[in-house]
Amino acid sequence: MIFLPRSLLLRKPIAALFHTALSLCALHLKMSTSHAEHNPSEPTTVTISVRTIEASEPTRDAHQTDSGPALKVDRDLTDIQSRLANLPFSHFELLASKQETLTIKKKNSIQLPNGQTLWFRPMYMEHKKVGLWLNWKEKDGSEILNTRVHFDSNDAVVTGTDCESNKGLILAIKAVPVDASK
Amino acid sequence: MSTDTDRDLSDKQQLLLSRYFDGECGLISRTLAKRLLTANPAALQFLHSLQQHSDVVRTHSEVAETSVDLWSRIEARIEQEERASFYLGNRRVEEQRTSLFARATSSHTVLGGLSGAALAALALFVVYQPKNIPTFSAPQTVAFNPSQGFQPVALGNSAAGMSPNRFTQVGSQPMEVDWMRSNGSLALIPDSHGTSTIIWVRRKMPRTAPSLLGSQLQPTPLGRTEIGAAIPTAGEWLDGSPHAGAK
Repeated sequence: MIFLPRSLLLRKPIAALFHTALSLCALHLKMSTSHAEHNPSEPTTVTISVRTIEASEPTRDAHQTDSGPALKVDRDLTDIQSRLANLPFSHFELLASKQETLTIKKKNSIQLPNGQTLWFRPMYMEHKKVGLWLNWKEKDGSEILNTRVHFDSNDAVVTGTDCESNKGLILAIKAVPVDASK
Repeated sequence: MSTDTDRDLSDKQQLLLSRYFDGECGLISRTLAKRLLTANPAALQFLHSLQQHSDVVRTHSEVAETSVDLWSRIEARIEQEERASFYLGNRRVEEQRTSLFARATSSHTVLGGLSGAALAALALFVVYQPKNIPTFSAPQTVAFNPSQGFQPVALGNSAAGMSPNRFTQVGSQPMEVDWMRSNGSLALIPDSHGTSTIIWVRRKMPRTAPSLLGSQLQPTPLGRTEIGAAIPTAGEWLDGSPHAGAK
């Protein structure tokens, strides 16, 4: 026998809406979890590497042409040099590089050199495609950036923000499956 | 019961015979009834007529009992009601809405609630659509022009809250963004090849604030002295003393 929610019987539209939305949320959650069921062939552990970069010596425009000042990039940042060249800074220095190995769907954080915190949670990894939730927080807990991105594990997510004294702080985040990195 | 029998028997005799037939007589009444039955054939006929009536009634009641299992239905209904009260609470009497307008309003509220729920469901499925489920519509594609520097992207009110959007970068390896939220304005800056992007958060910074990177004691515009947040050099950080610059 099917029992309708009491709210429907009592003809309360808001309560009925709430009940229905709740049921649909549960249904959606079930669907999403069933779709996100882990493939045994996919890696369960991911190494998240975070490089903290200080951008200084601001320029008027990005380094699109050769007319601008010479770009000084730390040698450990050559893989993202083409992207850094589009920022209106001419000097990029690696401040810190940290790595954390954690399992899929586990939340973790990294303390950045200036006291900020980067929270992250790898959502999935399949066929070198990574889903990563990022929450970059200020020292006082306010969010600088809260996002969820999907990218290739060969690539890095690069994000940055303005700092005081006309400088910039850049994070280059990479997620590599542990099985593949061995 | 014939009318002749009624005439031959008085009311008292008929009552005596009825009580005798029903087995309600005492010793004296039973003796009197037996005497009456032996003495008066009308009394015997009256007793037979009582027996016939009794048989007819009994037969009818037996047929009714076999055709309708009333008690089992009552039991089932009681059980059903108990189960309903367990899940839905006890029944309560509501005011009867007698006017036509009230009935129409009631049905409209139910319909409104259900239609609202359907809309909410649709919105939920669109907003929180799992990545692996085939999309109903193509994701919003943002094409990047490498010749431009900062390219602000319409992310809604990025500072206010969630703006579920999906971006696909033009190139061989797309980067998709489900949503972004920041305390500043967001810009996506592509590289010269247009294959990868930097997510840049623009924030308003005070012009004469102390240097965060220099870790020096500097006066603020208000005359106070604050210690700026220190970002140590790479060497200091890699040496394992992340806050060395704040010394």
